[in-house]
Amino acid sequence: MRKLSLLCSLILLCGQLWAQNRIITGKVTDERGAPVANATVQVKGGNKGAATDETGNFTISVGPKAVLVISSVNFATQEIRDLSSVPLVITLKAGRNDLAEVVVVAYGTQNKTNVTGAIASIKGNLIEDRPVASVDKALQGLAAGVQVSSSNGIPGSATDIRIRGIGSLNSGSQSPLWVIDGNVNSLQGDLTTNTTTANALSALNPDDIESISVLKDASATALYGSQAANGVIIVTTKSGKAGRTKVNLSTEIGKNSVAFSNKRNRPVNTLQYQTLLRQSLINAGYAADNTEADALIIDPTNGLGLDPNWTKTNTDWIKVVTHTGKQQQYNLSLSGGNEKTQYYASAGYFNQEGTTIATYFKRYNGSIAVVNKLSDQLTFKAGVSGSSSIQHAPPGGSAYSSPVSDAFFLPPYFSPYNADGSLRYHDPEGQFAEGSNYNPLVTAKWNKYSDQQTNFRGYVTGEYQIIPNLKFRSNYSAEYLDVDEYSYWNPIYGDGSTYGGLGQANDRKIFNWTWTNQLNYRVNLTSAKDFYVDLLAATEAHRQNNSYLQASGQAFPQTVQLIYLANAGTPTAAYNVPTAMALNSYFGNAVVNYKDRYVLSGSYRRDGSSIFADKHKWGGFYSVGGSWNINQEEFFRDIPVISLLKLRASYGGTGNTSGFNFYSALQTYAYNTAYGGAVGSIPDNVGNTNLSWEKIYQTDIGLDFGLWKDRLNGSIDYYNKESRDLLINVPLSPTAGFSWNTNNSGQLMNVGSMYNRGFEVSLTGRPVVTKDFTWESTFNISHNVNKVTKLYNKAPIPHNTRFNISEGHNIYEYYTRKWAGVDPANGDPLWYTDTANKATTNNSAIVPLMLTGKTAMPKYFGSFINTFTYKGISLSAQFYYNFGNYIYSTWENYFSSEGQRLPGMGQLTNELRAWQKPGDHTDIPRIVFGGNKSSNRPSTRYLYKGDYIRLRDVTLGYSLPKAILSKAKISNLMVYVRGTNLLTFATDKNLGIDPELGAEGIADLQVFMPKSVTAGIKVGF
Amino acid sequence: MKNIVNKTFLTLSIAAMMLTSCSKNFLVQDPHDKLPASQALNDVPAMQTALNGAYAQLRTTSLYGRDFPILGDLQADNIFIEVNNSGRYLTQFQYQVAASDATPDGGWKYAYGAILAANQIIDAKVTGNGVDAVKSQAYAIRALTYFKLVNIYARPYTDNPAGLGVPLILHYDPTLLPTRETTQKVYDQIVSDLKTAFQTAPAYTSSITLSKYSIEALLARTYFYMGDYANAKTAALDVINNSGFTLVNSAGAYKAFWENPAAQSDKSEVLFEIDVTSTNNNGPDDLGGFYYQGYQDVYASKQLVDLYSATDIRAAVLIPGLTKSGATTTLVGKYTNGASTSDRDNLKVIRLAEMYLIAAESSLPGNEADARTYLNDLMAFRDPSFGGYASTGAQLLLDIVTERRKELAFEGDRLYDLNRLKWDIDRGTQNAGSIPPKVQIITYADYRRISPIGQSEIQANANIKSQQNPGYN
Repeated sequence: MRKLSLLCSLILLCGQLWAQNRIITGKVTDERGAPVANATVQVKGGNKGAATDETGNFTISVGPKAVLVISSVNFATQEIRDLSSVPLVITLKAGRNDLAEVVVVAYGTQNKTNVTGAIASIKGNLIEDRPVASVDKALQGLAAGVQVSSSNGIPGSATDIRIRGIGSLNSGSQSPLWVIDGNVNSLQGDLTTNTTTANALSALNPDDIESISVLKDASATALYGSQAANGVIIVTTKSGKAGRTKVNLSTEIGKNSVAFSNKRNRPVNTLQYQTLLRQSLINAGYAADNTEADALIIDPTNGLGLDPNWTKTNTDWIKVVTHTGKQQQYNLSLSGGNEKTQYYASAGYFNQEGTTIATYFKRYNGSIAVVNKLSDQLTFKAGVSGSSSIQHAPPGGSAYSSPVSDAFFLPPYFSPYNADGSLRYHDPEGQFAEGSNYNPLVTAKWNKYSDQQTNFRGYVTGEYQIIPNLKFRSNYSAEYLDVDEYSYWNPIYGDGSTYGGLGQANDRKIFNWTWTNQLNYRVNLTSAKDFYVDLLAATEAHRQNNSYLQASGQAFPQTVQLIYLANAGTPTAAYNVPTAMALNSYFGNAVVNYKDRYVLSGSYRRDGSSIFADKHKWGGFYSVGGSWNINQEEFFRDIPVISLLKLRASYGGTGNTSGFNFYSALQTYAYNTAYGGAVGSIPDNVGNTNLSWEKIYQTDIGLDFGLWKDRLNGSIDYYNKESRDLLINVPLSPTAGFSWNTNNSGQLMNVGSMYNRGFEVSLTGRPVVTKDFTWESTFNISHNVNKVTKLYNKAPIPHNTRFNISEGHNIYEYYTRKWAGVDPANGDPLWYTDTANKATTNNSAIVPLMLTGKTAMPKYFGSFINTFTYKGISLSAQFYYNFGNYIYSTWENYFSSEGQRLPGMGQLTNELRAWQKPGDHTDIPRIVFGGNKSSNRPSTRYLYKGDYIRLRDVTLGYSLPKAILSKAKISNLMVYVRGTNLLTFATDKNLGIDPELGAEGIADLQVFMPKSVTAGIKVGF
Repeated sequence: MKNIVNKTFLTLSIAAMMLTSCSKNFLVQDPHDKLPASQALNDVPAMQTALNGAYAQLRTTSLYGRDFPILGDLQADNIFIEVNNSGRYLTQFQYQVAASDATPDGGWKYAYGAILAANQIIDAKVTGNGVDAVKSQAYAIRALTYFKLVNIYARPYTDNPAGLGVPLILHYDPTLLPTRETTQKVYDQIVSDLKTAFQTAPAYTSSITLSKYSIEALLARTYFYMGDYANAKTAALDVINNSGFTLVNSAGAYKAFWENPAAQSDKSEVLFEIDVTSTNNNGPDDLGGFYYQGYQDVYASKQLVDLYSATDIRAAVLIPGLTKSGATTTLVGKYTNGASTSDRDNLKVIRLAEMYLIAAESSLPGNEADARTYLNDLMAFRDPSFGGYASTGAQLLLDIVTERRKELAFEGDRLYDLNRLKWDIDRGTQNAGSIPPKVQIITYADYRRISPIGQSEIQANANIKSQQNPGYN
């Protein structure tokens, strides 16, 4: 507080020191005389800047003795001291210069020289026009160290983003912090209650994004304090540029189909099914041969009672539930203004149908942003955007009305149609009975699973240049999201029939705001202004208010037209509750720059959070960092091969509160049950008044380099992230009486430790650069090693059935029975009973669950992008790769069941390889009616290698020559075709499911991931 | 002018810096749908609300909602699972249960949740009108829960009272890592709790709350399972003679009784049942959903069905039909409102008929005349045209046990009855349409006659880990 008042007095003292300004115009060209657009023109040592327009022209107001700094990507930065001959003519020389690049950092921007942290910057054009609904999906492969995985092919679905490994033991607490236009803790992820998967980020049109900065190490993130431990993603939306009004229009259409399948592991057809069923009956001793087996199969009294003509139907259920989905998007934007006022406005429409029936996502959005320079001292910015989207997402997993579940669970001898071609349900022969998988065509047609998201986002920023080096900035940024879900199970057939139809409405309204006030001050320590300190002091308040309303009812009219609760005969539930959290913070930051050679930075933030009990509300977070721009040293000037060499190092401690229940600290009774018509209460949380943040201490060492005039440049980073005080739901003895409550089964405590260590390399090369042809190649690779180092009393934490988080092991090391294969002598299943994989047994009941040494976390991932440009033609291809992990096929034990699930349930072609006679060496046990010694108990048998390479994106574009376009008054026109996920190579030949899964590697019969082919046109006027 | 503008903004800037760092209350947020534990049990209405919560806990699928009633019949010889099933209880039916399976874990967790809810009520320092009645029911809920626990997870009392029972938790202490008490101590606690409950028990108002005679009936059952036949008989007879409850004697009334989903106050048949309604239920996972509608995975075994005479009114709830995959079988009609849009089947915990059977069996071996009298008293209601049993000796015991099987079928009694008697389970011929039972005869000595203690207790509590039931790991 004292620091603050000091600054304030300074402000008051200096308030009168203004001088007269003048307007300067100029034009920036390259060495060949072509105009350079979007070059940055800045007054040295100040914060004022302008950008050149399409014709290279700029206008800027400067004080006396001002020096202009002109910079642009791919050009060497120039300083202009002589400003006498207006308009200025400035010629930039080729060559990339690190000093020129401005990077979005926490609470502002920095010249890249001053950056001591690990930051990946992604320009908006890289994520434009992708056939995905949300920005997070487009990020995959674009930044080293950032793992983006989609777990579901439903359009508008959520993703798992993990920066530099897994920072927390709780899956809800591993996502990075999103900061969109200054709103700390912007809404992200799936905020729905009933919907299979949704994504709050899908409210934002990726085409409205100007840039993204991914902050990875402590130096970059520490200013976000208690929320920064998992990294930070800063999104800046577009704002206008001065100059003639530009109109951009882009349209795209395309289609989506299933990206991955494997003949070795897909549902069997009816004849194959018959083979399995006969085998199972003969092997179980119910029949001596096929003839007896066939008789038994159709015998209703002593046998299975299947329809006598059952082998005459053969349905490929995957074909039934999948289709080619249509895809289209239209985006229109306007941008323009003068030196005083600039604006940007946009409108967009996005519509995508998934690969599977009853899945789609539609969005309408619009935005407007205005910047107004009220005076030389005062600038206002404001932006508001809104979107309305609707998603339809049927249930996933093993739900009876999940179309993907149906595709696997339903046997091939069922048909979705009656003989007359109508849809089959209430079948007298017992197909699709209640209480088993339904005819997916009927449920898709009559049920509704919608999620409508309405989003408004806005910010107001005032910037006040108090004196040339002192600036005050106030930013209020807010968003409102309404997540309105409605599901309807029809009363005629399916899940809803026993209720006479069931409707459930969930409405969540979230209002989320951040108000930040900050002072930036530059102290020049020399008159040459090449030794200075940049200071930041700020306060911030953040609040999130949730309001939740749920209602349900049943007994609907026996029609499928009256589907809303207005027509429910029996209302069954009404529920509403508000929740809230608040955060209050003070923070500051200092960067010392000496001649651009040495940069030191330090930051500190103090956060108070409503989530914790009184004594633990406040905590401090900090970082220190330094960089040495070796190529700025005198002795380096003579080595022309190296154009950039910068060494960075940083260390700091940040915190994590994401995914915390707002009220975990309290010992509570829940009042959510009733008995005999009266409300009941029950102890539901043991509480812990000592709860505090999770803490991460991270060291980062990085090297940035550029060679041969930046024909090759890149970065290498090594990091060590030590997570401490990790929250663990410490299992209580169930006898304590809390374990039944799946939400609060133990006591939440700060007791765990874990590390993530790894490296990231990104390289960009331009092997060929000629007048007409360029080839640019980008490669990045990330490697991460994760190890849990401390748990409470060394006790492992069971997690999501397949994991048992244990000390000394990777957090996502699978924990299950170890499969030892099939006994060649008799076809029995075998499991290992010891850790050394020596002793085996065929009795699954005594097989212990063990750590398997196989993890869900990839050892390496990254991408390889090549772009070729010849005149107006460009071809770009991005391969994404992922190696070293395993994936668990959750429901496969039902479909590779060795007879346990026969008949009635679909089986996989795997089963055809089953053991037949002594001496057979195979991986599938003998098939026995009723099952073969529970051979299908979950085990490593259902674990597959997750290695894959995917052609994530391939785009062929053609820009029409300007000479032709100018006649039509069009400034640019580009046509392109794009393929997404066109090819996938998986190394495990038996893998039947798409290898692209969520961070925990569990395949749960999700909607098939799409491959898309799209074509588009972009026109600029 | 410019000066004024600038000064205004300067002032605003400073004010803004201060404002964002204000108010203490900004950081205080409490939940709106829960109460701190310290405020949850501070007066009689709050105690009643907590009691409702404890009753509701018994309704969950892991307890009376489904596991308790299903397992008692499925692991014995009364019901079977058909081939086209939802995958539930397969390992129980086929005797392949592992400690890592969900069912043993669930029952244990939810039962101790009910015990915690009861303990908190019993220990609450609240005085006033009505406290005693609330506490009485809490004692009875605790006793009932321990009775189920000790029968599912421990060898029967009649086997060895000094054997391992279950941990006895009587007071709130979440950090405790208890060991298993002896079966003797667990039963002593159950008897003590029921006696305490009996003393201040509320009078009967409806079938869905515990009252004086339902508590005494539970006490009779407890003594009976302990082999304390004198006390069992006394308690059972007190209920028969003094409770004012009656039995029905026609097939129509019997069927109507089972098909009625509502709470009763007519003192007919049921002493205590757990309330399930159209809004407070387990959705498709209700008991009726498993027997009759929805999953409909289980059916009555032929061996059981063949025991009922043509004139037995209890056969009214045995419905001839087909399995989902088409085999001829008998559906269970005790829970027909399983997925109903209106009220749903309440879960029967203890009925008057059992008191006759307890009185009869408790009279053996010393007083066969009494035994026949109580048995035939029941038969007069259940099969009015049947002349009555005249058997003696071992045959009389078998007749009583068989009538018990027929009376309490599909209510989760049979396995524990056979355990108590130390008899083998013999399922006979495989039922048509059934999944293959891996075992047809399960001898009394078989370790699988009791459940393993679930994975989460074994993992969280090293003291219990070394006390896992033999044969399981």
